[in-house]
Amino acid sequence: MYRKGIGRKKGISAVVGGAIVLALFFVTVVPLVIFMQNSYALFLNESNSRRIFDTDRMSESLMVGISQDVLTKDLTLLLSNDGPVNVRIVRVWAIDAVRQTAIPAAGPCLEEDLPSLPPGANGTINVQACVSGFTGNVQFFVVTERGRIFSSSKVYLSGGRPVDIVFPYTLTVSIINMDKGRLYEVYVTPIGNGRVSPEKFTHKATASNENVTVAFGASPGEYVIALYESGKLVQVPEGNPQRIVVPESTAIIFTLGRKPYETVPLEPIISAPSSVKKGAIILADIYVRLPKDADESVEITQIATNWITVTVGATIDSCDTNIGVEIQPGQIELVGSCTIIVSDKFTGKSFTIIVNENSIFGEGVISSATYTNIGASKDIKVTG
Amino acid sequence: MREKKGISYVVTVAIVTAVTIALGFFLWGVVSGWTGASTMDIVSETNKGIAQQRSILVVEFIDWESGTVWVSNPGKVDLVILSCTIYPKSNPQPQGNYREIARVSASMDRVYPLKIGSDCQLITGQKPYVIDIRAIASTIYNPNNPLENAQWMIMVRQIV
Repeated sequence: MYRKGIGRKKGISAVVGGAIVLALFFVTVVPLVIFMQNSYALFLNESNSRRIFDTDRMSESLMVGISQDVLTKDLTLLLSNDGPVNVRIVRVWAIDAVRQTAIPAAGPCLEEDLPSLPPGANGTINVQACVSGFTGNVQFFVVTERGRIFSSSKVYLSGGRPVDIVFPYTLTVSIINMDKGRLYEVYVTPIGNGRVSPEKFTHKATASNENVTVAFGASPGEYVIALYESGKLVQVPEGNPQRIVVPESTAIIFTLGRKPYETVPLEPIISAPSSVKKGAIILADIYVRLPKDADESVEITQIATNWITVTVGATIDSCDTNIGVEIQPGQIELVGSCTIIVSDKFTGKSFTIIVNENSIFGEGVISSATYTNIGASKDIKVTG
Repeated sequence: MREKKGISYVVTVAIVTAVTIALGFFLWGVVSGWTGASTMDIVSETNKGIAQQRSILVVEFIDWESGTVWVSNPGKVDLVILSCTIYPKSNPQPQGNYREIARVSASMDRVYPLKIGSDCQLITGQKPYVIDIRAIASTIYNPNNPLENAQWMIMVRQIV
């Protein structure tokens, strides 16, 4: 009974001791585990918060356009929140797009009184103060509260004002060596966001080898330029159609590569009696021959007033000219007739009728080139 | 005989109890010391992880003419910028040399300039360039332990 009692009390003490040890263990370890879990939860909460922020940040979407106030003509940014989250604008930069520097001074242009745009909302910001007096290409950066940066397109300003807010760039298309009578059409087709005006240009060549340059108003973007000759796409060494990116490149030249027409001299022929008597009145007809090797017909367009002269002893009474006559290659045509009076006191043996050089002018029918004459003369004998 | 046995029992119980309590305190001390150290480590690591999560740096604009890099901080914690390098994309990334360059407050109301040359190292070469900025939350910045800073830095790298 005694042993039994002693043994039972010892057993209870060991259990109590063990329980105390276990209690101490759990009292320290369990709070630690709870604390670790709590810390981990805090970290996860922060990660989740950052993930939400990043998602919102990536969801921000803002369209930035440039326009002009209708009344004040001030340069204005057109903002449109086309994203699903609210966008608060904190800063606007104005950048010289060529020099890559901030204007008007080092630092952001606008930092106060900027709008906050709910999803779907539109807003405007007057940025005239940023570009006052500035000449060059300007671009605007809009910074949001979440650290996103949205940029506008580049626009050319002169003295702080847009030269042409719709079409800030001039795209020139040159057509070299056109064929007379053909119809030429130039089509400028924007690819993507580019805008151009006009989109089509039509020209009928009135002379061969004619050159023409036409200007198109264009906004920054990519364009395809095609040249048609009488409805057919022209084959040129540069390629047709050509692709161009404005403002990196603003000129296109289509060289049609035709052989240019070469002018030849007109040859005057004087038709008059070979001998006359003193005091006679004679009629001298002046013809012009177009050499056979001429590339085109020539129309006589002008005859100078002093085109014909006579030497001493004879005088020109009057002349009729034949303007507008067309001469085929190898043909001879009458261009003028003159009445010449021989003095009755003529003392010499002869006088000379002279057609002066470069006094008769013609125009090439195809090339519209100017033709002119060489000099010619004829001696007329004078008898008793 | 019975009294001796009774005294012996009380003494025995007292000794056993004292030893148990002593062992208990010893065990509690050991365990609490271990858990205390662990707790400090956990708090420190969690703080650093959270600070890193809260750190964001944005390069708003590089003004090449005035030689200025403009940065801002849309995050929730102030940042200490430790390095800024601009180098050609074709070049290998240069070795980092960390020092406190500037402090950037966690507010988008301000934008901070970093001067190319003094604050930002420029390695000239063929364009395009890459800008590489390293920063750390000011709450966990330890100016005496660059290695620890390097472990918790954030990096901003973009082609400019």
